Amino acid sequence: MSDPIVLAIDTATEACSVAVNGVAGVVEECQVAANAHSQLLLPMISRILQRAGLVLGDLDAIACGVGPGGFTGVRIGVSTAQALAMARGLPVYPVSSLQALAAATVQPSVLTALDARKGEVYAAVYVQDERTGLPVLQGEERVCPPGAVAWPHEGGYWGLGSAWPLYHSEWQQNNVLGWTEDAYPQAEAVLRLALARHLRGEDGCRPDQLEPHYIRPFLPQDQQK
Amino acid sequence: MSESATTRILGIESSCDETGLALYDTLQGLLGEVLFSQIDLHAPYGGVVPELASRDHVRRLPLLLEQLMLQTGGQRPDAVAVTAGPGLIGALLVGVNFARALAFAWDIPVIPVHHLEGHLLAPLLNGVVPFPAVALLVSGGHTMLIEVRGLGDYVLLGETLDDAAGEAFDKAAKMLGLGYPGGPALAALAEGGDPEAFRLPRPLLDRPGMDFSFSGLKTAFRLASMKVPEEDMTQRKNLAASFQQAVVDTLFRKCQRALQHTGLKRLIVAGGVGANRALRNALQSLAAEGVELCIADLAHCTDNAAMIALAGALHPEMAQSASADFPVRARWSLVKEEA
Repeated sequence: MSDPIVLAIDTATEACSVAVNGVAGVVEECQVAANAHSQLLLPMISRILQRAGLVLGDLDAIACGVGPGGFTGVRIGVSTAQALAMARGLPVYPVSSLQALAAATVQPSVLTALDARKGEVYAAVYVQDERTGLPVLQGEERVCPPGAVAWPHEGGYWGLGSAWPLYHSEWQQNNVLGWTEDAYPQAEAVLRLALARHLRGEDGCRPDQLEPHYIRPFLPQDQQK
Repeated sequence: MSESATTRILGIESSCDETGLALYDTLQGLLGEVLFSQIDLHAPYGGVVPELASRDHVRRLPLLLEQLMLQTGGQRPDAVAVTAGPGLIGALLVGVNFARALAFAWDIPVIPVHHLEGHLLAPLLNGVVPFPAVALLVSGGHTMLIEVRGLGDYVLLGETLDDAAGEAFDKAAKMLGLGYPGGPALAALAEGGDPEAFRLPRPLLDRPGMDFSFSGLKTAFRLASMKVPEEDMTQRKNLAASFQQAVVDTLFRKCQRALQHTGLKRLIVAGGVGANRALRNALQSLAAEGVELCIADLAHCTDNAAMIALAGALHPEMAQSASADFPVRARWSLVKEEA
């Protein structure tokens, strides 16, 4: 049985990223531009479908990076995925943007960490599954001050994400092998992760069940007047 | 847009604390609409919290679309009209991206709608043709008098220099310890109260022009309210009634002035405060002066998607490809600046 054709998007960070697995392989596009995702996303989807020789009717599912990340960015991706899936009657695979970030490297053990502002980070440790080559979550994804990040095992960590340039000196003591500054959650990784779940027999969810994965609760007293 | 004689427009509204969808047919009128109000969500904070509003819109939109599709027998629209501003930017972005993706997936155009033009055109949902006219746009965020010369041709006659009328209602209600949203609560308290009991100012009535100001009235109200004991229900009712009367008087007199200034004989009243019964009653008396009054029905005074679908239907020239450039604007002027 051939792979289902999946359109994947991730808009949780500065990167606006889309990918689709066409007949001739994965076609993707990514633009790093803060506060422009609403303008960029649909034109990008339109372009990669064309480049892949596909029409919307060819799609079998939508995969969406649901965060954590920028609240507005995540919602742009989620609203778009919900509507595409509803209009075409497709299932949706929600994928953690931290897991997609972790899939950007072949390093066996990764601490993904995105700047969550207010002196906090969205962080999680992922370890590569030897059989599938895909990152598997260790513990949980959380938002916390950089000093409270969990380092569950001894092994050397590779760092990925926008929090690393900010906090690497604080984290250096935890057997850190190195870090990549300009790594982003990519739709191509969201696509791979969704296909793997499909292979395992997961059906994806209904579009109205697709929700942002904020992690950080919103407390109205935090908001700026 | 479709070549057939009739066009169906799906309208989507998410600019503030209401999530709405509606299907409007250019021949048959409104086919169906669904609306979810976030009032209960924001009530504990005494005002709309933008991030909470955005979070709720994104949860609610797919569910509401399902409801609307059930209500209207799954009819596919010919275009999607969506509020592109003004409003809360995060909230707008949810509706706009949802709308554009729907249009993209159905291969139909998308039409950006100015939220205030939606309000202005809302009386048309009842089949009234309201041009040319003077329009009083009065809500929690706006208080404007506009000369409507034709569709899309709007000239500003006057606007508030400080608070919007609805905002003044909400703040006054807060001073009396009434719940959120305060406007309707204050109006309810005013029922049966004596509107002459307290002498409150009618700001800017003594000066020419059609601008409004409500901050002086608000201050006078606060001072008066400090002398009213909380348990004196009669005085509280009288104070609420006096306040409401002062706002209504001000709005009424400025409308009169705008009608005289333009020589027009038609008045459109739109926006949430248009649902206020005292205001509606006062404006009815203009009929004696030969003025035709066009007020949206109560459900369509406040934010809704039916008015957005209608505005989209009236602006087919704005239809564009879903993947074209589509600005979303927190601030967006409706009018040409002109004296």
